[in-house]
Amino acid sequence: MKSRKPDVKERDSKALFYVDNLSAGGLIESKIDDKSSFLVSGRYSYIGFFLKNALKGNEALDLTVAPEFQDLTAIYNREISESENLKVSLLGSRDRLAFVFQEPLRGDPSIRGNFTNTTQFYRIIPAYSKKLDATSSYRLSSGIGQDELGVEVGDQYLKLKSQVVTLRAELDKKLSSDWQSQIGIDHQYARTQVDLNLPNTSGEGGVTNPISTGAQRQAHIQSEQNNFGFYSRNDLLLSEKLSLQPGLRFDHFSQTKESFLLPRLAAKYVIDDSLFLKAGSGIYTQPPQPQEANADYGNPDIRSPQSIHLTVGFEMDARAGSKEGSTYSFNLFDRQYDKLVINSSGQTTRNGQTVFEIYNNNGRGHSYGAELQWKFTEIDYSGFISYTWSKSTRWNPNQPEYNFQYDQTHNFNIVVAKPLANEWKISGRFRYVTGNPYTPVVGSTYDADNEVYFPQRGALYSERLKDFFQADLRIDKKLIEDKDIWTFYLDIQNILNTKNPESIQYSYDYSQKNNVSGLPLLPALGVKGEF
Amino acid sequence: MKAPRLLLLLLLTGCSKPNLPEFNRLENIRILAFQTNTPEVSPGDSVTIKPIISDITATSLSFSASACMDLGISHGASATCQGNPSQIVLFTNKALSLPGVGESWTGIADSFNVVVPTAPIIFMNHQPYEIYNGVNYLIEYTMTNNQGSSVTAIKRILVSDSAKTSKNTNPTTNTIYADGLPMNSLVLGVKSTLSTDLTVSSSETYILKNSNLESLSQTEKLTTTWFVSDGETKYYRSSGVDTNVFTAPGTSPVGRSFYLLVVTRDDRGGVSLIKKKF
Repeated sequence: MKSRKPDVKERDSKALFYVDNLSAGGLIESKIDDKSSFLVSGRYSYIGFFLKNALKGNEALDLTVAPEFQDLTAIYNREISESENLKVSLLGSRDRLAFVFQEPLRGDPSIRGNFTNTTQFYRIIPAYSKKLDATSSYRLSSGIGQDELGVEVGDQYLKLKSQVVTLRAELDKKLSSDWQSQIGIDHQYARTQVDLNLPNTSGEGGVTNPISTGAQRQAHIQSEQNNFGFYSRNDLLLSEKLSLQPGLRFDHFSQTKESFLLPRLAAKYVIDDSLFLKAGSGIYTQPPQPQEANADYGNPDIRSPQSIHLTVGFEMDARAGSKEGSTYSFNLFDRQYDKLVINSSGQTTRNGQTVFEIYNNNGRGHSYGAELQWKFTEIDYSGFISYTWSKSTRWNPNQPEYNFQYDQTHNFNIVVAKPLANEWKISGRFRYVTGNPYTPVVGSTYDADNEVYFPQRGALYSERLKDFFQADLRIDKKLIEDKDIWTFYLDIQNILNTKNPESIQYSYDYSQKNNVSGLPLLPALGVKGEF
Repeated sequence: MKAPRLLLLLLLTGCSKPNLPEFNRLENIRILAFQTNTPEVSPGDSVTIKPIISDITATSLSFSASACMDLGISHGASATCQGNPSQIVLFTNKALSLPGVGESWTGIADSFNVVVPTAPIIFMNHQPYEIYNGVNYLIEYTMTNNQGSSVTAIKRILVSDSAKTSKNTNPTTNTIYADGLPMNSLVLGVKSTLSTDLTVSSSETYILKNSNLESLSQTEKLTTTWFVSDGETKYYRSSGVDTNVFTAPGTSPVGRSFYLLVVTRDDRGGVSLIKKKF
C-alpha cells in the first residue's frame, strides 16, 4: 500500500474539495512547522439516499438503511533530520447496505428476510527511513489494522474479522559503481475470526448451484497466519549497455507449512538514449485463501498455487529531452500456472474417515499475449493509447483446456484531453474489451424439495458476452483567482448509453435468458475548489 | 467503492420485471412437487410418492423414474441417478392415467412406491450425527408430453435412524381463504387477499444433531407457493402465515378450467397441496 507525502513545498497549506450529484470529498494539506506536515482527505457518497427514495414502494425489496460509502486518508510526515524521515499514514473505508426482501427470493426461496452487507477496513502505517551514508539507506515500515466483512441474509451469515500486522525492513546499498543491492524481510501476521452459517455452494464454470441445495455449514473458525519472506534484489551494470537484475525470494506460509525459494532474473539492454530492450522471468507463489485450506470448511491438504512468468519487450522515449512528444512501451508475456485451487465434489479419506474433498490443487493454466502503450503530449492535446491482446486458459484432469473466466482477447483504451480557450478543457475516454467468456446452461433439473433448478452446464466458458464498448466525456471550466482555482465540471460516463451486457439472467428453469446490462448514461455535475 | 455500482445495477435491472416466464404460471409441462406419505422414513421402509404436476395442454403424458444413493449433491455432485452405481430403474416411459373429464393434467399424478435401502447400505460411510439427522435417498423423475417436451426432477427421501421416533410429517393445509372467506369460486377481475389455514403452530419443532452429537432445537420454516393458470399474484411465495394478493383474470379461460395450486413445504421434505379448479 503506497501513499504520497503531503506536497506543501511552495505554500504553507492548500486544500481542495469537490461536490457533485453522486459524491463529495475534500483534501487539506498543510505545514505544521519547517520539518513536518500533514494531509487529510475524505470522500463520501450519498447516492444511497437517492436509491433509497427511488426504491420506495418497491414490491421486491425495502431499503431499510440508506447505503453508505465513505473513505478517509490521513498522513503525517516529519523530517527528523537531513537523513531521517518519519511518515505515519492512516487509511480507512466503510461500505454498508441493508434491505428487507418482501417475499422469499424468487430464484431461491431459502433466501428471505433481512439482507445486510458491511465492508470496512483501516490501516495505520508508520514508515521510517534513514540514509546511512552516500551509498546506503534503510527503510522500516509496518501496517497495523483490521479488515471486517459482514453479510447476513435471513438467518444465514458470514462474519469475518481479521487483525493484520505487517512488518517490512529493507536495506539499500550501492556496493560498487556497477552493483546496487537491496535486501529485506517482510512478514505478515493475520489473526482471523470467521463465524458462518452458510451452505456450501458449487459453482463450476461460474454457474452456481442454488444456495438452498448446498450442505449447510455452521462454524466458528479462528486461525492465525504467519507469512514470512526474505528477499534480495540486485542491479548489476555489466557494461554501458547491459544490466542484469537477479533476485531471490524466500517465502514461508504457516497455514500450509510450505517454504519456497523463488529465483527471479531481469535484464535491460540500452540501444541508445531513447530505446532499451528488457526481459524478465521469475517464479511466483501465493498462499491459498484461508477458507480453502481450512480443515472444517475446505481442505487442510491444499497447497499454494505457483506460476512462472516471462516477459520481453522494449521502451522508447521519442521526446528527445523535451516535454512534448511520445513514449512507447511494448511487452510480450507468458505465464504458466500450476497447482491452482479448484472445487471438487469428490471424496477422500482423511484421519480414517471418508470426507468430501471440497477443494484440490488439480488446476493448471496458461496465459500469453502482447501489450502496447503509447503516451503522447503535445501543446494542444495529450493522452494515451493502450492495447492488450491476450489468451488465457485453464484445465484440470476432469476438464480439457477451456477459456479462463476473465480471458479478454482484445483490451483497447484511448484517453485524450484537449485544453480549449478561456480555461475550458474537454477530455474523453473510449474503451473496447472483448466480452467475457461464460458457461452456457444447456438444461436443468428441478429440485422438488427446495423448489429451485439445478443448471446443467455446457462446455466451460465456451460462449462470450457481447463485446464491451464505452465512451466517457468530461468538460470542465476553470476560474482562477489569485491562488484559488474553481473548476466546474460535467463528467458523463457511458455518453453513448451503450447497453453493455455484464451478466446473464435466466428464467426460473434456465430455458430462457436475458442479458443484464451495465450502467446506462450517468452524468456527474459538480464543482471543485482548490485553495 | 463497488457497492454504488452494484446498487445502481440493482435499481436498474433487479427491480424491474424481466421479460421472462413467471415461475408460478401453470402453462407448459411442469413438475411442481412430490408428496410422500411420510417425508422421513427408516431404512428398509416403503414410501408412496405422489408427483404434483401440471401440463395444461398435453393430451398424453408418460414418465420414467429411478432411485439411487445420493453421492453428494449438496457438495456439487450431479443431480441425477444416471451413471450412479446404485441406480435402480423403477419405470421407463410409463403412460400416466388420463385426467378426469374436463380436466387438464394439473394436480396429483399417478403415485408409485419405493423401498429405501437397508441401514448397512444407506448409512455406509456416514457419521452418527448424519444418521440421526437423516441421509438422502434420491428419486429421479422424468415426464414427457405428446409434443416431445420433457422435464426432470429429483426428490430426496430422508432416511434416518430407525431408533428415532419423532420423524417429520407433512404440513397440514385444507382451506384457501379469499378475503377471509373460504374460496369457493373465481370472481373475474377482482383483487383479493389469499391465505390458508396455516397457523403459527403449523411449524414443527425438531432436534438436529451437530457433529459433536449435541442437540439443537429447530423450528420448521414453512413456505407456500401460489401456482395459477390465469390471473396474477403479487408474490410467487409467502412465508409462514403471510398472505398473498391475487388478481383474478378478467375473462374465463376458453376450453379449459382455471387452476390454483397452493403447495406448502416445510424445509425438510414435507409437502401439502390444496387444489382449486373453477
